[in-house]
Amino acid sequence: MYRGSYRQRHADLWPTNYKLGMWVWLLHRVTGVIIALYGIAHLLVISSSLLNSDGDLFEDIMKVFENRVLLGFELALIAVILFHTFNGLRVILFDLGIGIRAQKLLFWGLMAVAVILFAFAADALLPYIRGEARL
Amino acid sequence: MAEPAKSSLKVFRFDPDRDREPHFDTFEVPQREGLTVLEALFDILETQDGSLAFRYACRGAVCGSCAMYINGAYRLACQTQVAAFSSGELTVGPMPHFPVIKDLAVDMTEFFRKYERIMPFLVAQSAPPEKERVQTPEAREAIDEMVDCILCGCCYSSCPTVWTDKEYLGPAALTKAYRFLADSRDEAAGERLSIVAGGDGIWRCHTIFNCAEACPKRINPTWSIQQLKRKSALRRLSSWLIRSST
Repeated sequence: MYRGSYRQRHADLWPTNYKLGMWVWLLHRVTGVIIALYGIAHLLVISSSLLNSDGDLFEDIMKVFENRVLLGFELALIAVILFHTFNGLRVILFDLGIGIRAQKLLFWGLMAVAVILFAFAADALLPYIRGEARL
Repeated sequence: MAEPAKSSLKVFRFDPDRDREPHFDTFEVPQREGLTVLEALFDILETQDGSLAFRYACRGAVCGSCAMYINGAYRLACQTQVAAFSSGELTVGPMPHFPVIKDLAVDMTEFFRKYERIMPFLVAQSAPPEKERVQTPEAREAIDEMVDCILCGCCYSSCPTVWTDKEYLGPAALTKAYRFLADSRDEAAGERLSIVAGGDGIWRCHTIFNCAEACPKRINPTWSIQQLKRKSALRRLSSWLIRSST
């Protein structure tokens, strides 16, 4: 009997066969998870300021974040948030009936805005990441 | 005389009576002007391997029977020119995610069961007029795109929500749901919206647009689904407003 005996499950899961919408959807999911995990980490770090300790625990923790590698991660986080924000806007626009027939154009348009904003962030952060300026 | 140029077709094979796992067979087919993938499959069937199974009917892209996964995209075999692939090499497989009956023929039972769920027929509540329920050309134009759907299953096969939710109605059924809902002669809007707004309906669509990319008739099912979402949300909203004002 053939029923359910075989389904070709992976033929269209090869990434080179993905179209733009599929990549964007996957990236939206991944960036969403990254932002959620960052949110948890952020709350944990910030809430350390509430801990009673003899030394300046919070200040010491903040010092750690002056590390250049971590500042690099921070810039990456800005990219992640910008992508998620602007693609999120795209999805909201679809629900309002806007841009459904121009989803790719809408995506690239919104990403152009995101890239411009990212350029400002990079401009501000890069001197610190490169070690040319100190916090 | 020189041998005519040949195209090579790597064809998905699976015979549930004999095979535990599928494999690919490669066939050489003489190239000629206008040769479609469907005709190439016929060539194989007639001259090389009579056991090859595939589904077809109209050969003119209106019946939706020969949808396949060809060179990494959903296509109708009858509408796809072999010469369109300059490498002369084609990989032809059944539509992914459907159970394979044999070779390129897939079991579309689920697909049509879901199609039936959306009531794919016009519903009249009012008494019939003397002659006919007239539809103006403008009113017909509004549903032209959805009427064009030939139920080939490409969009359904390409939809990540279909892959993960067995009961999700899928882009084709929802496009047809909108086709009947938006038909000026139909009088069952409420019932239709209740069907599509259920847990397995429109709200599971994540606007990934794989369906729009897959459709060989260039229909955008996502557009229809978004219209249904809007109508459903407005209906819910207005019923709340009416309830809270009385």
